[in-house]
Amino acid sequence: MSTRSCTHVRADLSAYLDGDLDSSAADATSAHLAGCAACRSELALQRLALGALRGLPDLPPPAGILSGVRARLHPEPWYRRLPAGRRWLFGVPVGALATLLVVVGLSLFQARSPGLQEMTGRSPLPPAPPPLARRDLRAKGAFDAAAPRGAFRGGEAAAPEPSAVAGADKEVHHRAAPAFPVAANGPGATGNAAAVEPKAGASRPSEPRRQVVAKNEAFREESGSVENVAAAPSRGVAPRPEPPSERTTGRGAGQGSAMLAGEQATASKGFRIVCLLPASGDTVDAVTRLLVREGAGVIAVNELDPRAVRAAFAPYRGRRDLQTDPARGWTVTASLPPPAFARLLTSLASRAGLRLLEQPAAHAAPENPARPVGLHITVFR
Amino acid sequence: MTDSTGAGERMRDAAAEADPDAEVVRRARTGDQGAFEQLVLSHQRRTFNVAYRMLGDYDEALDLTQEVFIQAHRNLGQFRGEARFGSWLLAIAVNQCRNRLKHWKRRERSQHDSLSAPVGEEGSGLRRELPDPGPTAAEALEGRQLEEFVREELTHVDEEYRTVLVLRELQDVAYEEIARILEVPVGTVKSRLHRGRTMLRELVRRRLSPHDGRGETERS
Repeated sequence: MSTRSCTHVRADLSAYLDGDLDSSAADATSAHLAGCAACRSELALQRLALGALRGLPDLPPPAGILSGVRARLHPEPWYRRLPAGRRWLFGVPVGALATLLVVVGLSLFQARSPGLQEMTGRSPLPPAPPPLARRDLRAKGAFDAAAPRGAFRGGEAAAPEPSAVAGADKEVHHRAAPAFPVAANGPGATGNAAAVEPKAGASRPSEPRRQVVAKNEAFREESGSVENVAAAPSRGVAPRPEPPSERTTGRGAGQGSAMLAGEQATASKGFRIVCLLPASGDTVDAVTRLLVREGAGVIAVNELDPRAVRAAFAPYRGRRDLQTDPARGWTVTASLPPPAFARLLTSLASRAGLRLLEQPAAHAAPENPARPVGLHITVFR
Repeated sequence: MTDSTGAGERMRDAAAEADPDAEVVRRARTGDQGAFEQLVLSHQRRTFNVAYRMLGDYDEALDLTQEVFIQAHRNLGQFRGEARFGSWLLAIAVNQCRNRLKHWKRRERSQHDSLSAPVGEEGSGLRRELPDPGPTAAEALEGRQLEEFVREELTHVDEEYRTVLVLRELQDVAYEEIARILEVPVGTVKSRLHRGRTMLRELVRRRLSPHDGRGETERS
């Protein structure tokens, strides 16, 4: 019977326990164990570890597996995912559209019926209807002072509104789809580069505003992706011809995101910027970059892969200041210090297949790195 | 040629007959949504537990389990019934776990974990604060505490060994079935199992005696 070293014996303890060693090796191991207390204790530890492993309980499966599979195989349309109490909101744009059609129809009818016009004595065209819906979102701090209000509008970035740079808690009329864009200031605004410049004759923008415009100009030059982004099918990014003040809020390209983002935003802490991101990855880049540059942000990310977002947030799971609400899509409200915010953005961007033009850490709240940054991300499945 | 074909068909038939899910799978393949949901309900427990033990993260395991069933639904037409449906599903789960672990490794997930894990959880100061357990530490431990150590250290066993440990020791899958799932010989399965157990023992010993090469000294 050959003698075996401790190293060999310990490597074979598992096979020895299972009886998988051939007879000569098994005999040699037995002989070694009989004379080596250290290896015997290793054998005991192996038994204990194996027993503990086999004793690990089977967890009951989480309740949501089947419903999750069902939802991912047959996704519901977005309006059905609205909470029951808000489904009536779906009727608002429908009702507004119906009203508009009736008004336009009547106008055409009047225009083609001079007799009727004479009888009623009215102008052929009625006054323009008031905006159909508005959503006021509260924002303060960085949103007002740092974020370019024009940047969040389609083509009309130039004239700063006095209220935009005043103190905290300003009422901001946030408009869903068209508003975007930082993209309008960044890449998405292309073709409209002049739109982000102060128009001739317009009042001079405030100092912070000018700084942002200059930064965005520099961004456009260095990114060189302006035309590409403009050509990309980024729904809701392209500026519309009408001025923002006459656009309606609600369920344009944002499809309800504005509403939810706004409501959730009131619950988040710190500085907030609310914006909706259409599908374009470059738009996300631009917005992310701008938010980080300004040291704060509330982001409503639309049409990103929920799995990517879930994975990006996985490392932060368990934090009490970060909640998810899967019932409303993917809604996350967090108040993170800038380094964590930067990591989160980087992770989110990389998992979503996006490229950050700059490392966010370098720009996170440079004047006060310890300042908490409010972050709000909403992703709709 | 005819004989071998016939033998192959007989083997497939035998496999299908032996598969308790065969009839439900057949209905699911014809588009019966209820049948597919029945399969989900039948196999969600095992799939989830494999994912949980492989990934060590409850939410990720839930997500991966759903992903497994979605992939199964998409590829149901390719399932030929040569193996049990449960084995086929486990193969999908194992592959998904492997991919996700690789993805995490690429993204240096461990670094994120260390930044976010609450104090006292796995990988934090707990290990450093443990006193040197002494010669009979493993036996002195409460069974539940040792189980906790093993549960945590299991996620540190190399992925290929952990897979076999989870399938064999926790799910009681036969060697042959594991070999089919992993597409390796049975001998390789056994060898990986022994390596995995040895690695787990080493990890537990280090956990018990962080300052000592071995956890136990000579006993009478």
